[in-house]
Amino acid sequence: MRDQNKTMHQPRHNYPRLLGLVLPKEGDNLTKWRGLIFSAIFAVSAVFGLFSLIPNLKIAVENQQWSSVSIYLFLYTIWVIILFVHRIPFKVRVWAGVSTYYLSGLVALVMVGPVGSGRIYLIAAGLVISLMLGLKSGLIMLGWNIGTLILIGWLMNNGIVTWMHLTNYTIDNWITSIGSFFLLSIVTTIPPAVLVRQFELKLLEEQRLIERMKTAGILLDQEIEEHKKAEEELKGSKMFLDNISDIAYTADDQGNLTWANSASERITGLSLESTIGKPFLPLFIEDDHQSLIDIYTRTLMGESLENTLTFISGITCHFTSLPNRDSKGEITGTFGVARDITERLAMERALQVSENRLKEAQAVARIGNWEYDISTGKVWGSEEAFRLYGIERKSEYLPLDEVEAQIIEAKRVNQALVDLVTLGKEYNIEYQITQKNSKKSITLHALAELVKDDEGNPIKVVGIIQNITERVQAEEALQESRNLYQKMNENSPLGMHFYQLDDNDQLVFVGHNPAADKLLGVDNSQFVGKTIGEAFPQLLQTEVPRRYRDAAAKGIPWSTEQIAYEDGKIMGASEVRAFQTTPENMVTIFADITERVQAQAEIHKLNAELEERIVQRTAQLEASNKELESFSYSVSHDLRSPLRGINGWSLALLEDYGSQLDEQAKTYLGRVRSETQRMGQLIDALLQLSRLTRDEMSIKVVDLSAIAATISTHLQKEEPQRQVEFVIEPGLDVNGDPHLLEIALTNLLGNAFKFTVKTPQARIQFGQTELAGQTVFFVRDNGAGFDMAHSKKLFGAFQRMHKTSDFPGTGIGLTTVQRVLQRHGGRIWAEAAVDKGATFYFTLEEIS
Amino acid sequence: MNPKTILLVEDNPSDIALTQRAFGKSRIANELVVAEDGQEALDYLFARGKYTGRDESHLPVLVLLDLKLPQVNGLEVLRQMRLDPRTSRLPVVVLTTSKEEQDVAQSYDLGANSYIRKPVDFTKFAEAIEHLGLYWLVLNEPTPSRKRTGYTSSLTDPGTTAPKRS
Repeated sequence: MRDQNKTMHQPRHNYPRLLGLVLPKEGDNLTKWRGLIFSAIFAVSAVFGLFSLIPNLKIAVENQQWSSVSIYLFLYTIWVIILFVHRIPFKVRVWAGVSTYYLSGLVALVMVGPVGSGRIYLIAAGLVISLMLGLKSGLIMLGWNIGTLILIGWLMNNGIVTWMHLTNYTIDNWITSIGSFFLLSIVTTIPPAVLVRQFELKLLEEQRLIERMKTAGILLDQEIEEHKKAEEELKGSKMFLDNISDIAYTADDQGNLTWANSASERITGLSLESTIGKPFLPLFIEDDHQSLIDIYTRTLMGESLENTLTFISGITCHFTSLPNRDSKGEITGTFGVARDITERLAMERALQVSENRLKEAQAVARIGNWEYDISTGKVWGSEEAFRLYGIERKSEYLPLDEVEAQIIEAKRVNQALVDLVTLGKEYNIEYQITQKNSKKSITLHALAELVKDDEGNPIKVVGIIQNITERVQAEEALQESRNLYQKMNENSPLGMHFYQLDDNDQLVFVGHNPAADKLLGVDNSQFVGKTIGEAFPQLLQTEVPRRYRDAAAKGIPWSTEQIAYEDGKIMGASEVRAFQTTPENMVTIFADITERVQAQAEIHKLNAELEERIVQRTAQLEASNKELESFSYSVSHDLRSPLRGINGWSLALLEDYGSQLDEQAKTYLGRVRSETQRMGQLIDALLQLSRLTRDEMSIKVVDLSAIAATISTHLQKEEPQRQVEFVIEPGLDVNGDPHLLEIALTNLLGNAFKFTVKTPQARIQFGQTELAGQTVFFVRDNGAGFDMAHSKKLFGAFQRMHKTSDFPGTGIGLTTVQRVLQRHGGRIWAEAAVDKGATFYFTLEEIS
Repeated sequence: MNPKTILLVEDNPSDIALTQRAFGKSRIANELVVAEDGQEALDYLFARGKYTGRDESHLPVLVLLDLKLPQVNGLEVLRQMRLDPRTSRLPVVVLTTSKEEQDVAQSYDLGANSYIRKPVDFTKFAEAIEHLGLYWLVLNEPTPSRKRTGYTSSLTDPGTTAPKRS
């Protein structure tokens, strides 16, 4: 940058001047020296030309040769201009000077002849050109001048041109003249040209030396001065750079920041002192490091790049970075500018967000928008529009053939668009489509407007489409429910009256259903439009109007039953329910419940009678229970006494009069006695049975196994001569009345013991087993058994399976057992076969 | 006259005869006084009615009491006996045909010393009478005479003075 500035601002005209002459300075280049020589030649021409001009002008004026006067003045003016007007480019001046000399020479030669001032001008032209443009140009000019002289000689010789003042023209003296001119030209042109060439070479050598010194770091005084100037200018530009809002910076090729303007302090949030001379990478957020390194490396390779980076301060800048080259064109680092685009990005983001919102809103509302360009015939569609048609958005424009194929009534939809464009008819249509990919049928609602240009010509149509499938379905469902409601109203057996609160807070009868006419026996349409008081004056004295108003206004439902009696009989009954349908509206539903109420009344009556009967029966039952008790008591006391008497006196007879009786009589008396004993046992058994039914039960945990074991011990003690094996499963605990259960087990085990009396290896089992998923207890023996054909009689009182002579018994035992088990919620049954033993199963309900 | 009499309260003549027969067979020599209903039994014990003038200090050593009696039943007789200090400690054996629980319980509650159910079989009945006589007349130590001890507190708690024996 510094080098560039220096070359750009190198001064051109800082040379000392003297009388318009530009004096060369040390270290100047060839061009300047040439200029100097050139200026000198023209200065001489101007000064000496004046001396030759004045007499010539005088002669011409005297001879009134005005053309010559004007030529002299013209040439002289040109010389002066060339001499003093330095703005004219150097080469133009040179060619102008050369041309004037040449033309002056040509004119002089033609007019005055081969000897004289004409040749001097030509030589001057050659001299100037060789000095200014070099040796080669000088030689060309020499040749040109010789040619000119030969041409003039030929023209003269052929009489085409004649010299006005020349009388002795011959070829010989013309050739002599040309020869002398040639020699004179060589003498005057070549040496200066050679001199100039030599000087030029010298200058070039010196320049090279200076250049070498510069690269060696040695600056000449002038350079230092220039450098200072450049620095001042640089300061000026830095001030400018410091006052702009963009960052300007330079960096070296080692990744360090070498300079930055003050804007960078604001943007990075760090002082220049803390950033300059240090690596710049940490100034940026880590996410951007890779791209920064990439850009920096590429810039150092010579590329000019733009990119966006974010500082750790959070500010994002757009960077333009360029390679920084020294005067030799080698890259020494980078420089560039950066613009804060945070706000712009934020705005872009905000714009993006609001666009997205619009999209989302469209998606949520299922509204798509479209634009039909009339000139192109293309239809632009929003994302949602594509989505509604179920078409992938490959381009912005809707594929019309695909869209049309989906529309079920494509003709009508198209016609609507045509009508809008051509007739300006309102475009507000609903139509169904079948989405191609999902085969789903949806209903769309489309609205569109025509957009015209300033001249009123239609240019496009903008429109929206909305998915109203759900709304349409909801409407259909609503209509269905309305129909259903209406049908239900019409066919309901329940009467309905509809009321509405009017502006005066009065309930007005607004409608009814057919059942209402039938139930009330009147035509209800006569009430329509009347207030409740006008329609049904008899209700005014009741709470009904207030209840109805509460239902309509406050939504408080009310129901009531009204029964009309006549002579204590139900003549009619109705059930009424009033409730709010919509605010300010209510309906009363009423049904004829006469039959139901009558039936209920009948049931109440029957129930009351039944209860009375139960009370009576209970009393009777209690009385009979008491009777039974006293009966049992009597039996217990009174039936036994005579038995004992019979028994006692029979024995007395035997004892006291035994000697007078024969054996037969004695046997009979023995039978009398044993019968009385049996009768006593029967009475005892009956008493026990009756007690079982009457006594209160006390439920406890009962160990049946232990009870069974005790009973078996007793039984064996009674008949120690018998060998009976008892197998009792231990730990059979149940809930029940211990006394009653003992009676039951005593009977069952006693039976088993009794009926195995004739079995050699008697075996009696008591245990528990599973039968049809139920836990049952069993008492099993291998004794006499019985025929299952008679098993129905088994548990009846006084029913016996065996002859008393075989197995004595009362016939009450199993009845007693059954009664005990029934009182425990259980049951008993048996399996047996004659001579193969019997098994009695029983269950007990779980009583807790 | 044997001073150790036994009072039999029994209305059934057949039973009276059988009981007498049983006593005879078991060779119990004590005099058996028979009262045929409850009222008569009480009259005898307290020397009232037709027994007015009887030496009331002469009490039986044992009362055999049937429960089912005409007019005043056995339980009532027992109750009144226990209420009276003179008879409150007198051994009473209920001898009846009933086996009803309530009868047994009430008897003991009122201070019966024993409860025997008359078996139908006379042989067993005779055995029972024999055991009974042996126990109450021989083995059992009779209660001391109230007159001699002057003990009067039994009015409030007859149960403690009539130990239950079964």
